[in-house]
Amino acid sequence: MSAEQESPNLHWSGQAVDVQAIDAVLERLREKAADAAPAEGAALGTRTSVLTLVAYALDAPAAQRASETIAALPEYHPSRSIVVLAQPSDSEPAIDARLSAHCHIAPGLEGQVCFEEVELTVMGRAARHLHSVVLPLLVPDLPVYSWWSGDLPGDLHLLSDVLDASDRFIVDSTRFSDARLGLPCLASLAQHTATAVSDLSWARLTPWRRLIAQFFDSPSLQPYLESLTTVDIEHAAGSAAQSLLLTGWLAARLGCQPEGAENQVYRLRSAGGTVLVSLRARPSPDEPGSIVAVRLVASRDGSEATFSVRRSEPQLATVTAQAPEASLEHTVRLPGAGEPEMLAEELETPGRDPSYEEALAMAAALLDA
Amino acid sequence: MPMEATTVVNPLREGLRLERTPEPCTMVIFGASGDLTRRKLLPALYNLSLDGLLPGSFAVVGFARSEMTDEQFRQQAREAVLQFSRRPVDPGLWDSFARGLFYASAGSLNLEDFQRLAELVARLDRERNTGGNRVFYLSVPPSAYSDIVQQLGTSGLAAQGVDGSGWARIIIEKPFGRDLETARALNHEVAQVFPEEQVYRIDHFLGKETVQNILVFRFANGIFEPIWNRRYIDHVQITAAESLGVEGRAGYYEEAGALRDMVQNHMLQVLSLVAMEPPIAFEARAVRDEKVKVLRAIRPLRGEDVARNTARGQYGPGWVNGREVPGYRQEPNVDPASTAETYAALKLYVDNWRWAEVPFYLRTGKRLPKQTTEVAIHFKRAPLLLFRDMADPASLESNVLAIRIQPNEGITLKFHAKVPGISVRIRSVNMDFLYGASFAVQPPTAYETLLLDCLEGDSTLFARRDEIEAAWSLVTGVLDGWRELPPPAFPNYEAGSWGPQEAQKLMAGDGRRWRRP
Repeated sequence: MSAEQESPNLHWSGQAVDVQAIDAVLERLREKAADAAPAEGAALGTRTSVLTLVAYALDAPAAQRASETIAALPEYHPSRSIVVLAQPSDSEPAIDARLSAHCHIAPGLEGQVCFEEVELTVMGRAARHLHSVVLPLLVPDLPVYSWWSGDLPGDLHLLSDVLDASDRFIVDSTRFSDARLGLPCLASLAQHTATAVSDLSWARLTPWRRLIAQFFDSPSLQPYLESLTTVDIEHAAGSAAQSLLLTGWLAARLGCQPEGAENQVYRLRSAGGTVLVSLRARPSPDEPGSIVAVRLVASRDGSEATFSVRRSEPQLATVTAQAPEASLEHTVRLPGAGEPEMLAEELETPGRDPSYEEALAMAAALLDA
Repeated sequence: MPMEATTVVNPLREGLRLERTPEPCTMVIFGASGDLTRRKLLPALYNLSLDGLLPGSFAVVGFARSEMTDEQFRQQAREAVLQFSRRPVDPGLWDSFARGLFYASAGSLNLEDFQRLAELVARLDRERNTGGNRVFYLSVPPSAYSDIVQQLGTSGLAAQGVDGSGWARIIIEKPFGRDLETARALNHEVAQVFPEEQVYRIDHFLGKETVQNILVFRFANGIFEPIWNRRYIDHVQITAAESLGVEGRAGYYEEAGALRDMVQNHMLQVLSLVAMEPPIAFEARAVRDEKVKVLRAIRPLRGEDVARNTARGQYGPGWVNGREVPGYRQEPNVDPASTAETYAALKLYVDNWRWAEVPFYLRTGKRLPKQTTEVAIHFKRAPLLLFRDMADPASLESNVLAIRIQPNEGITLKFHAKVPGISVRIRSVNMDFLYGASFAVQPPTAYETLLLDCLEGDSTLFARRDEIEAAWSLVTGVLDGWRELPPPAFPNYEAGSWGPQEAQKLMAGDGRRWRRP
């Protein structure tokens, strides 16, 4: 019995709706969904909530994509998700809503997983006051994760509305139309808001950061970290955001200062000397902007060591280290880095991420140097 | 789980989320061709590797009596993972994982065999950069523990690296001794070779998510701890019920029985987590200090106390899950006149300030109606029965908070509510919290959690020497008491029932009854 076949999806839609009525409709849908679920041996009708996810979009295709991503979230579902399509204008306020409730038995797990989706189109002047629409719909007293899926909005009032209603503000800097402009804006935003700012592109770097860090767990190889000379980062063409964040991370963790840049080669000053970091975009079948390979070269007491991680297949990487003390080569799995997986990872993470904020600030400083 | 400070600080590690990658090391598995290795250890290691949680430099050495090449061991490992892993084999990754698997024949377990093992491990240190760190996993029958530990000492394998950089840890499976005396002797032998902080006595119960969650539930919430004491709690019931019989383990079970098999380790560990005082920190020493205090505070059962406060049983033929099953004495390899208990119930008191005169009822058995493990906290009744005229007094039971450990991990609170209507009618309702419904995530297996903890040097979820001895001290008293009593009239419960009458009487005598889980 697949969960898909069995999941009862109950829908309701209305035009020019009253926000206050939405909660009551959701309650009704939830009861129906729980009743209709295949619940042999499972608890019925109970709801345990963890968070609310609010996705914002400024055009219909973006809203549609956000809905699809939320529907594809693996394993981890927000208790309630709200997709807001904002269409601000000077005309009269109007809100259209589509609501649905789902309960299904997740494969391999006991009990039902229930969640609700609200899709709102907020038009006219109301779109300039989104908080008045979103606040009444949040699950009481649980964290609110807001997801902004494209370039940051130019409308600062709108942005501050969104931030005020969020505990965590999620963007994907790989989707910025120009990372070199977008990252400094985001860095400045992160510095000035009390809301935790996070980035799906940063989540995509987690396995890379982990694999690079792992080389230097070995006490005999760790000293090479202080004598890096060059770092080469290759990424799939389309966006430099991930490469820049990875460079920012290395620089921040190693206490380097940016000195200047020329033709995608960034010069960093470290305690051990100068490190040259070059970023190279190349055509690749992988997701635009995703990291393809990272190679670190260090030189110490006249001997050279190289450490590299290279994507060999979409989900596999070859890890190699060549040093006088040791050499190793093995293959590791790169977890899927699609939008739903990355969003799910962000939803599991509460609070601010100082490492990200430092890497972001450093990336902005690199672009400024 | 918390990590103890490692000697090397890698600046790139800072801020990595969900990160617990341990130091490079080699793991030697004794009993590498055994059932536990196949079913649990190799699948757990493979899943840790899938998640990138094993160290970059890592090797596994299988060590067992049979002759095998590295290649054969790798093939055997692949079959084990195919059959028992919670996630499928990733062909692109398997070769890299398998290249880290090696095999050495244990021969007759003499010094020469261990010296060959030492040479292999030293070679792996060089070739795979495993840094002189070792974990020895004893997945062998307890009769072999002593020899292996001694040889690890004599062969120098258990010694730290010359420059003091490497470490050597040992993981020991249950049963850890068969009574207080043998447990003490084994502890003594192990201590001759390994310092206590490098000894990891594994109890897979403690690796279960829900067992760990007892600590989170109690100490991360402010609302439960104030009522977690004798003023508000009437009694506690801990149940570990199995619907299975002995399933091919008759040889072991005939010697052990339910008390040794379940109570001495799993159930007393759960009891200590439920009853312990808040530790001063969530780390190995503080948590285990508090757990052992509970075990020491349990009122010993001696002589006549044993008959009054315990019940034992053995199943006869019956029906379980719609299937007819034989009685224990009819199982293969069981003595037809066996007196091994397949059911044990105990009434215990934790004699400390918090729990004085609150009984803890423990029961465990095989061939019970269903497979379930839970802790049920029964609260005292409301002081004044305001509504006695509006409800059947029997239905005004006390509130119960049940923590289900397996299956359907979750927490249920039973309380009273008014049935909607003009008159006041009262019913008990259950409010259920299911982990699966809130966090739809497949948790790691207990062995994944515990192996990783050990690789990281975190012994919070492993039993310490004093805990083992305190638990055996209690259990040995009961075993001695039982020996002095006339032989029990076994079988005394039907397979598929909730245990013998004696156990019901144990409760009824106190005006209470066992909860139906």
